[in-house]
Amino acid sequence: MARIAALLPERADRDSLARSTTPDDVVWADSWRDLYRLVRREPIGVAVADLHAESRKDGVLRVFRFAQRFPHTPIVVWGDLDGREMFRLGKAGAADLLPAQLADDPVLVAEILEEAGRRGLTPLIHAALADRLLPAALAVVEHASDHIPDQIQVPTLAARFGLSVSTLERRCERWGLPTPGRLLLWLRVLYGLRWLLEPGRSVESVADQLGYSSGAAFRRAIKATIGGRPTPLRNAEGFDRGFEMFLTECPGVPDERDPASDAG
Amino acid sequence: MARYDRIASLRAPGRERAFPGWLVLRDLQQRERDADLSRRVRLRFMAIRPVLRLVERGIDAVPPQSLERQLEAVREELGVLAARDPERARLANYLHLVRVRTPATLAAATHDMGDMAAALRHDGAAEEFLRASIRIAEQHRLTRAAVTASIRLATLRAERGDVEQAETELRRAASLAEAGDDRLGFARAMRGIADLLLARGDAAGAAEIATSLRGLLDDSECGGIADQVFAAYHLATGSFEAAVEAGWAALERAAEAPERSAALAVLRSAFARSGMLEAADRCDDLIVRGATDPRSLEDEAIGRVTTAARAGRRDDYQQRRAALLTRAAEIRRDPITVAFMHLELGRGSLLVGDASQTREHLREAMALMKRDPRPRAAALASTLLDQLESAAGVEISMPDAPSAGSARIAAAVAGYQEVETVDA
Repeated sequence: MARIAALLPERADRDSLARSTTPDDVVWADSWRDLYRLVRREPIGVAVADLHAESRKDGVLRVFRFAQRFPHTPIVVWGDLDGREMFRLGKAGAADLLPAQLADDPVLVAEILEEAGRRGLTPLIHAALADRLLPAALAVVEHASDHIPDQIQVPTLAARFGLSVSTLERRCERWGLPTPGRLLLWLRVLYGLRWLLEPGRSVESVADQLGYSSGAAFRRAIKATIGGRPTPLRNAEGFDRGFEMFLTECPGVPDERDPASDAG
Repeated sequence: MARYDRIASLRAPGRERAFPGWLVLRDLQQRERDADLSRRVRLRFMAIRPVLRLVERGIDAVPPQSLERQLEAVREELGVLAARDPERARLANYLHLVRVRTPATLAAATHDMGDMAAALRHDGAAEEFLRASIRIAEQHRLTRAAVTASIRLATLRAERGDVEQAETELRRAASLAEAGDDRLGFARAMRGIADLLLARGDAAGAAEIATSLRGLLDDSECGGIADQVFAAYHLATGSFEAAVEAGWAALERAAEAPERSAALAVLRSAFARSGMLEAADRCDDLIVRGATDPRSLEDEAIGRVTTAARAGRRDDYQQRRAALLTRAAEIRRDPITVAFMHLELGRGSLLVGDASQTREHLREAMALMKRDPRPRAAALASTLLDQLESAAGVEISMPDAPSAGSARIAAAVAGYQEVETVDA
């Protein structure tokens, strides 16, 4: 699961969250300011915040500001929420809600966090590649995408599908995909570009979140895929350009089961 | 100085961006300070979430204990609604059905909540529960349930003026029914399309549908639906005697409650347009007794008031109108319900040729709608305004004396056995 930054002042809530995930996956914030700091510096996949974490502050407005600063980092709002707050939180950009009455159900909490963490690159990939890739190929790409925040490597990816690295490489070639290593490289770059769309992040922090040793290493990755430097790519057009280039390296193959699709 | 509310000015998220169940909360738009509505939408949000979870993950994939926790959380909060609040009982039944956790009960539970919300004119909740019902039914190939929910959703959309979307949904329902060999569902969907065609003046198109239904389906299969469409067609083209005959044929052939109610509704209009107020009132009584949705006092009374208008009975109309307004003033209702009442009365006043009364009702309605704008109300107001403008200077004609045939049918309706309420 992606890393979680949590602003939960109540001990019971912290315990509930801890029961729903593995301890190493959560970093704790003491304030909204602290939460922002964590999201900037850590590979955070999901933020969690108690709406009433800071008294005399408009929690919904805080969520809105967070969603503006980090539009691609989902925030799940936790706590005692009335109807009006729930309505406003949807408009403010909350990724999901966890009403206090249900916070001690670890199964539900885990589901909500997992679902929130899935927003982002994977649905875009699915929409773009579902028609051109075989289901097995698409599954590999989507699994890799889902686990980029976990810094997935090729051997882990291969093992997930019960394959050796060399078998996965041969399959990728047959499926019309880049090599597994290049696939992960592309996905990291795309994740990085997406995170760079968030005003609160720097190239160095994004590099760190992706598992690069330095900002320079991340810059080299960008050069090896899209070309150029990261800063000019810190906009929607930059991401779109990168995404299009990635797609050209994933041409797929005609459906082997459909004789009508054989190339002439 | 009032603080600027940054959140209130934000646009609502679209379906693809909203978190699961949020769209149920849309009914709070411009009514955020309505504490009662806030409690209701919160309950509905909490109630729809477990079903959406089952839909996304699979009915058998959610651990029973975890699902039960979600349902229990809603059950514990039912007390925020008064003991006699109809929604409380409906929610309790909903929770029970969801707990049973079969595709059929899930589809039925969500459809029922959608119906209830629609009757209260809470379109956000109505749409989301009906969509959930459709998804469940389609996932598990429950053709009749999917078609019925789709038709209901189409009706909702038509009522709020989204006619194009309504027709799309009905055609989809008809295709679904055809593919699943649900003949009655197909006939119902086609009837819905015929109603839309009549509403936009395409009587010939509606007649074509009725003819093809009669040709395609045995009367026992389509429950007199072809006759219903013919009755509506005759109403639209001014052949009221033929409308009464077709309406009666539809009622005699109706095998299920929805068909009986639909036949009674068209028969009511046919009697009214023929000037037969007592027979029309009898139809209205039968419809009310067969209804399962909560109807406000105004909804029941409005039916009788506007029926008198359609029957051309000016004095009866004015009497009933005055009684309704007195009653409405004594009972507090939310602004939008009162607005709808004024819109219906505006139509009634127009029918009896009282343009100044119509304008008065329209003004009242629009003043209330400013506080709580709803697409459905706006659509009705716009239609009424158009009718007012086009009727200016035109004398409303009184219906001819009823024929012997219509009188015979009216006597038969007077003795018609009461409709049994059929559970969803």
